[in-house]
Formats: sequence, C-alpha cells, structure tokens
Amino acid sequence: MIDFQFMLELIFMGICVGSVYSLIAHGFNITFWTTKVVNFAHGPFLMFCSMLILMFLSIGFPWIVAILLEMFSISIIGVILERVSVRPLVKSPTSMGWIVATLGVGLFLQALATKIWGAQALAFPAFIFESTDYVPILGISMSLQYLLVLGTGLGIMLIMELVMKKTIWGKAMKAVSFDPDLASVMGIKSKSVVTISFILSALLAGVAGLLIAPIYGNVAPDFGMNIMVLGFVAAVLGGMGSSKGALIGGMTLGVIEKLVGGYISTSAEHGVAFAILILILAIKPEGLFGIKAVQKV
Amino acid sequence: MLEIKNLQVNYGPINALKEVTMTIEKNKINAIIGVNGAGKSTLLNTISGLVDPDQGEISYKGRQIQNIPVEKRVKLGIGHVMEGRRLFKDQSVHDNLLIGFYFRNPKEKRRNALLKINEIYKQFPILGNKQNQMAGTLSGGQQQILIISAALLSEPDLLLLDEPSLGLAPIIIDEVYQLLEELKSKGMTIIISEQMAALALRISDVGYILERGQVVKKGDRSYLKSLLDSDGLSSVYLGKAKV
Ligand SMILES: Nc1ncnc2c1ncn2[C@@H]1O[C@H](COP(=O)(O)OP(=O)(O)O)[C@@H](O)[C@H]1O
Ligand SMILES: [Mg+2]
Repeated sequence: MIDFQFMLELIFMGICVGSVYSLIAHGFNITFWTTKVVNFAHGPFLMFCSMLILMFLSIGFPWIVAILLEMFSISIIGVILERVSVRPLVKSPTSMGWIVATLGVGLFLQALATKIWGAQALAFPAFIFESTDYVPILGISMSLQYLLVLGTGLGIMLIMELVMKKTIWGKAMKAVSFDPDLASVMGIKSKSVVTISFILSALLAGVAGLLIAPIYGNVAPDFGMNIMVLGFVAAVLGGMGSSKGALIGGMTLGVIEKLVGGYISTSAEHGVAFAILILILAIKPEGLFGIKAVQKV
Repeated sequence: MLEIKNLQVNYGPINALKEVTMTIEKNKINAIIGVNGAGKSTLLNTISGLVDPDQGEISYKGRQIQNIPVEKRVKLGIGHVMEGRRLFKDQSVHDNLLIGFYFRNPKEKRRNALLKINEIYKQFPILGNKQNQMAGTLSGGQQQILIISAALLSEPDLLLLDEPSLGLAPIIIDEVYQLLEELKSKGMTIIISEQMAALALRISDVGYILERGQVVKKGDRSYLKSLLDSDGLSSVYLGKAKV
C-alpha cells in the first residue's frame, strides 16, 4: 500500500532540490548559446560568490552592499574566464580544450577559496527567510527558502525564453552561436556578445550562490563543484541550451533523486543522477527539450 | 573606391595571397576569376575584415581600413555575401532580415526595420510568403536571394559576392545577375568572385584573373573576352563556354 502523503512529500522535496539544479543549468545555458562551451567553472563561481558574500558581510557591510560587491566581482571573474580560457579556444571548435580550460579555472578558484577561507565549511546566514520558515501546501510544510529558489528559477526561465524568442538581442545571441563570422558580417560585435553572455552567466552564479547557500546552511570550497555536477546532469537531461529543459530537467532529477532516496536508499540518491546521465547520453543525447544541432553547411 | 596595395595573407605556411594590388573603381562590377583555391575567398574576406592580412594596405573611400574590425567596416558600407550561402538557418526568414538590418544601421534608422523589410517582401514576394519559415528550409536560389536581400538592408556602397552562382540552376543565376545589374545602375560598386570566367564576364566591367594568390591578368571585359576567344590563356581558368 502506497503512502501518498509520503510520496507527495518526496515529490515536493524533489521539486525544491531540483529548482537548485535548474538554476545552475540556466547558468550553463547562457554561455552555451553563444559559444557551445559548457563552462565547468560555473559551480566554483557559485561557491566563490557565496564566500564573497560571507566575506563582505563579515567586514560589516549590509546585505545589499555585500550582494552588489559580490555581483560586481563575479562579473569581472566571468570576463577573465572568457578571455583566458574560452576565447583562445573557440577558434578551433573541434578542440575539446575548453573542458580542461574551464575546469582548470574552476579548480583554481576552489584552491584559491581554500587558501583564503580555509578548507572547512563556513556557516552561511539566513537570507530573506529563516531556514525554519515553512508554509503548508497540501498538508506538507514547504521551506520558504526553497520556494524562493523555485520562484527564481521559474522567473529566470520565463525571462530567458522571452529574451531569446522575442528580442533582437536573443536573436543576436543565437546568431553568434550559429555562425560567428556571419554574425560579424551582419554587424554584430560577436566578441562582445560572447563576453556579455559570460557576465550574465556569472551573475546567475551570483544569484544562485546567494539563494542556495542559505539552504545548505554552510559553504565549503568544494560545495560548488558538487552541486554543479548535478546541475550538469539536469542540463543534459533537459537538453543543453533549452530554458524549458533546464527547469524541467532540474525538477525531474530532483524528484527522481528524492523518490530513490525515500523508497530505496538515501545513499543511492546521487548515484541515480549518474545513471540518468549515462542513460540520456546513450539514448537521447539532445535531452528532453534540446533540438538536434542544425547542420551549418 | 577601394585601393588594395601589396596585400599578403598566409595561413601558416600557405601563402594564400601574394602581393595583390588592385584598384576598384566606383560603380563598376569587378570580377575576381580563379579556380578553386586561387585565393578568391581570402581576398574578399580580407576586404570585409574576416581575415587579417599579414602585410599590405586596404583603403576604402580614402580611409585605411585594414585594422578596423568587420562589424565596423560593414557600417562604413562594405557588404559581404560569403561563399556557401551562409544564413542563420535555424532562424526564420524574417529574423534573418531583421538581424541583417538592425545591427548594421545607426540607431535612428532602426525604427524603420519593418518598413525596409516589407520593401524586400514586395520586391521578392517569395520571401514574404515564407517569412515565418526557417531559412534553412528555403531552396538554394531562395536562400541566395535572402542573403543578398539581407546584405542590401544595410545599403552598402560596396558589395562583395563570393561565388554567388555556385550550385544554382542557370535560370536562378540569371535572376541573381540581373539583380546585380540593377544594383549597379543604382550606383553600387560590386566585386564578384567566380570560377567560370564566361559567367562572370557576362555582367562585369572589369576582371582580374587570380592564380595561386597572384593577379596574373587584368583588364576590361572586352580584353578578357578576347583572351577567352583567342584561347591564348589556359582554358582551365576560363572555361570554353561562349560569353
Ligand atoms: N582557413 C584556412 N586555413 C588554412 N588554409 C586556408 C584557409 N582558407 C583557405 N586556405 C587555403 O588558402 C588558399 C586559398 O583559398 P581560398 O581563398 O578559399 O580560395 P578560393 O576562394 O579561390 O577557392 C587555398 O590553398 C586554401 O587551401
Ligand atoms: Mg572560395
């Protein structure tokens, strides 16, 4: 006999956790649109943002100043990443050098964080909501902090879809990713569009670092890398580059994880993510909502 | 209009252009003729800025442009229809035109986008009828018309076309060429590259024959035609088709 209340609880939990993965998947998407590169420094970016906020708070700045400073810093780091490890490599698109290059920047940030703030986890304060703030939905108490992440993920998806489908800037981003030379001949500053996409993605890591850290309650230098892996699975599952995919992929992964955790074993939770990754890559590499790459020539 | 001096382009060890010098006169159709690999695309790409020269100068309307980035040269009035019918095939016909218009025109003109695009639809109804289709679904000829239309939206003074006839049916080639003649009559300067001299000489006023990155012959249409007829020049480059 299935306990529906228990299952519903697991599903809600899964959706909440999944919204964290979605937020990360959105971050992957933006730079993927313009460069077809998956930025494996995105997770460490997120961690670094959390750490920066902590640092600015501890200096005594109010939240708003700490957040603004953090966003500003990560934008600059985003630009540096693009200049140093992406731009020199996308010229030879067949090369897979960007994997090593972006991952390298990520590991560097992680090492830098360890150097500055130590390897142990640091407590992260509550933001907007206390970690004990709950609302009852269908008889299940939902954490407000999670709902905030969920709402943000949804909002970002809507904005992305709108920008990509309806605005000339979205069309330009698509154009640059499809054929950067043609885009330049059409008057688009291809390089600037790529740089802007890295800034936007870094800002998204900033938002994620701000919203996710309070859920975990503490942050350690390896925290970003760990959730990034799950965000990556979510992005692949939903279809790399698809906003809808990022949202649904994240939720699906979260729900499957929690169901596996609830009915089989909690230690299998993350393991199942990798099983999904392998399965998707084997049977539907373009993901649930990804479009098969259009042949360029 | 355009002065090219001692232009040299290398791709690693390959010398794609060797000391190319030419003077392109205003309001003429100039043909660059050469076999595959002669350096035609390299020349056009260097003029539009997609390729950086290793040496040499390009001046356009009296201004040195070899260090100006592509997207700025476009705004100076250099339009480039690249080889291989390149389009944003994953975007609609309309969006291709919109992108073609928007970024190459100054801000104050941008509000006219729809007006200008509608003019294109009037001139080429087939594009209007298919405006919401993905550009990749058009036939080769329709794609070529779309690309040239997109290039025209920036109202270029100098239009570069890289083998626009490649892979098109003769009747479509006629249509494209007729369009180029109309553009010339409106004052545009055109540089067109072709492998077949017979084809290019149908509309061009001046021709350059490019061989392994060097200009080996140049002259007006009647001179190049006489070369063709006398068979004095290797028919490999020129083809024997009647002009
Ligand atoms: N991107 C490139 N990298 C290396 N070699 C190139 C590149 N583009 C062209 N080439 C070489 O430069 C020469 C001229 O090529 P190209 O300008 O494309 O000639 P065409 O347009 O007349 O066919 C050829 O030998 C070609 O192989
Ligand atoms: Mg060529």
